[in-house]
Amino acid sequence: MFLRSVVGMSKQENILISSKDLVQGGVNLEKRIEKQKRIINKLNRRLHAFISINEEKGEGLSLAVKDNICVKGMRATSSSKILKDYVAPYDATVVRKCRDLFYIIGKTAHDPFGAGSSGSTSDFGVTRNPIDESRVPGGSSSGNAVALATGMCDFALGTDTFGSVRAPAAFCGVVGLRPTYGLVSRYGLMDLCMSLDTIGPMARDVYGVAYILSFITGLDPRDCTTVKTTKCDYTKGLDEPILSKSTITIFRGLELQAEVEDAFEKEVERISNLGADIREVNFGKIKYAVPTYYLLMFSEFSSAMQKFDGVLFGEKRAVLSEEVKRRILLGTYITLKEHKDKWYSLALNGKRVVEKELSKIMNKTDFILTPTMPVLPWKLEDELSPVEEYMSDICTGFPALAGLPAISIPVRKMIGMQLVGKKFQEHSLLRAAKEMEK
Amino acid sequence: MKIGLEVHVYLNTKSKMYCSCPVTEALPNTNICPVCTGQPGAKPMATNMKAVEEALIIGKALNCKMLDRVTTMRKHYFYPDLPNNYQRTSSPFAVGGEFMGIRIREVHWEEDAGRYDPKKKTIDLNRSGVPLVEIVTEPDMKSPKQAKEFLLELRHLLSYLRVGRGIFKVDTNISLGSERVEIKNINSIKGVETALAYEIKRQTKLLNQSKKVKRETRHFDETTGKTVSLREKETVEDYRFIADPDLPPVDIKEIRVYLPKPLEEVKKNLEGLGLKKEETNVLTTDWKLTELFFSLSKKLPPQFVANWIKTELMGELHYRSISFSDVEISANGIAQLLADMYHGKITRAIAKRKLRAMLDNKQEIEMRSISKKEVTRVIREVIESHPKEVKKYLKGKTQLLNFLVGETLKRLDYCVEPKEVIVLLKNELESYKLP
Repeated sequence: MFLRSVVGMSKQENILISSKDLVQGGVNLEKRIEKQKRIINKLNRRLHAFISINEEKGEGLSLAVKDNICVKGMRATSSSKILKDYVAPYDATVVRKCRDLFYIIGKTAHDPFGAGSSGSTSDFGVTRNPIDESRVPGGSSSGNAVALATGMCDFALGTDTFGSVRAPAAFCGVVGLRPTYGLVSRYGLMDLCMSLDTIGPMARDVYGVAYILSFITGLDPRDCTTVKTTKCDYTKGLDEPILSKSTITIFRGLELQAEVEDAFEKEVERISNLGADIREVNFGKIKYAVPTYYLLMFSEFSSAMQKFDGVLFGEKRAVLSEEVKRRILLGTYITLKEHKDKWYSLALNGKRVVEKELSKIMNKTDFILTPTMPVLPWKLEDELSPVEEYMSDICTGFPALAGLPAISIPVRKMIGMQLVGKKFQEHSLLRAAKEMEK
Repeated sequence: MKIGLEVHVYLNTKSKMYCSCPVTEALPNTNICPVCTGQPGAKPMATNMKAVEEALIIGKALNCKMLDRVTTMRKHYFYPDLPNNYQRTSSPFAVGGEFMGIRIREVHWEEDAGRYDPKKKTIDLNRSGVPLVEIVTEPDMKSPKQAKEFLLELRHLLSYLRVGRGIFKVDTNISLGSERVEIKNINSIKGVETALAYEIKRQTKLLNQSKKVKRETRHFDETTGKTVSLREKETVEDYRFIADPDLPPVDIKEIRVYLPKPLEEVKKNLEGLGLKKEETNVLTTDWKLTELFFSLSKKLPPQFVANWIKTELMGELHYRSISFSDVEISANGIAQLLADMYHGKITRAIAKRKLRAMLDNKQEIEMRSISKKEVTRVIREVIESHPKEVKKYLKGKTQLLNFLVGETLKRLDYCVEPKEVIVLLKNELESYKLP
């Protein structure tokens, strides 16, 4: 498929091994890491997937970590110049949990502080879509998706606030999961919108995503929003079909680009043939998810960013990117006493409305299916207005606002489908995604 | 004249409000971690429940109405001692109380900031995240003296309740009729009185000259006793409060805390026993001490017990620089000791010795009965080894007798009554007198 064409481009053979083969052994991982580092050396100058590379030798499954997640002793810039020399003094909980089996190959680029949907706006260079280098890779966890698609790494930890794991997965042809809010600890993840931020696994296939997820879940005293869950191996029973026993809801009234709409219709037909019971509902009030999110995020982000005043951390605020500054200023404005009722309270209310609407839908269905992105990746030179870019979150946003798990799987070149599941039902969600995976 | 107070009380916890760093004194920036230094990505741990329990005791003892759910808010402002540039502070958990005739507006808990030294340009974050409660009164006080008395009583109440670390930081506001002036960060109760007295003088002078008193925040300089303008308040500060998304609300309805008998009631009971105000104050420094007193005075005269606690027990505690809440002693042991002493089975000196052994957790040394001959021998030893003091005594400095008695008692392990030593010592000293 299209991943093969990426590989053809990099002239690396046999590098895109399935996650299952890698996990089940038989591959010399030390040699593989050396090989992957050579690919990084060759491609990174053009694609800007990585910000830092692990110089220490090591063995294990190669894991890329988004640069807004702390890895002790490595730089954690959050892709922003304000933290260009900041070295994390501690491990994020997810990193600590992955250390035994995985080798952290490097820290990947993204939109600064996760503030972006294009994935191309890192302060350290333009990250490009490897399938079509003139296009955006999708964001914000763009570096991970690019690295996976080109074989620079085999597994990745991204972060997803409103689509940041799923959007780049869809645009670059890999798999990304946003877990239920509270399933995976956020300790060590730099803030964007704390009430929605999650850490999510990315890989080239559903098996790979299920594999990483098995390591990173669980209650963490260092993150009060985590929930006690029983540890489970999400790869177990992954191949058992589930779609024929499932109800899947799709939306009327979602505006999609023609190519995306076509891919979506074919996919609905395909899962219907696999035996799924398709149900259609109006998108209706769920459309408020996007404006609601941006108001909430501006507010929480402006609070979180207060610490970067040039005293304790990093550089002066002047070096922050335009989008980051825009969000801080808007957030500061709408949390002022005189505007709070008009904007911030409105957003909190909007969140309740969307949650209620989705909970009604989820009571009657097993999954929701949408395209991951309503559009194809846009051209790097197309300057989208902030609102146009924000609107590209229309499909990835609503599950995030309601704390639901959602996965993106590739179906066509630069197009992914999103499957949304019930809270803490990642196992069923992964099974359904596995069955849909080609 | 209207005076209001905002009293910050340090809570008595082992660890900080949102992380497990200790709250003890230490070298600068040693009791710190990613959470209390605001490292990017670090999240607060769950609210320290020991701090919450102490806070609830305070709210209840101030006769407040307790609320059910408490939200942690972020209060945003920029200051170098505040790593996140926001302070976590709870929504009020107790409202509408009353203490000493002063209305309590609300009580909430919060985390402290670090220490910033603008002259040395250093920041010490050991204090960052240390748990506090803030008690906000209505502007019901009419004089600096009344404010001081309120604070002294409050300190006494907290001591009685065994909560807090006895350390205060106070902000006060005062209005002589027109604009309200706020004085920030006063570190002692006496400082509050001085600052308010200075402010009254300053504002009266302005008003007498028909000048306007500006609405402003002032800083109190402890060394000069004066207040200086910090910032003028053209508009009310906007802290952009939002609920902290990293912390779920705390449900305080289900938390049970132990509250001893109300202090006022206990004081009345003690006065009813004929005790003086001073004694009453000593006996209520700690509710466990009060309970000890009542249990002892069931079998012994209250005045005798009160005297012993005030002089002997408190003296020994004071000598060790500790308070009653720091020691674990058995009430039965003390009851036995006091009964024995009261009934003349042991001397006052021996009782003292036994008490010391209890406080220091030492095995009790076997009591010896000492002959007169032995006492005289020790007295001679003391005289021999202190020729200077003896000489001075003989020249008329009679107060040195106490010193020599003390030395003798020490060498005899306090097993003899001082009275007996005095008689024998005087006798001995006579023989040294020059003809």
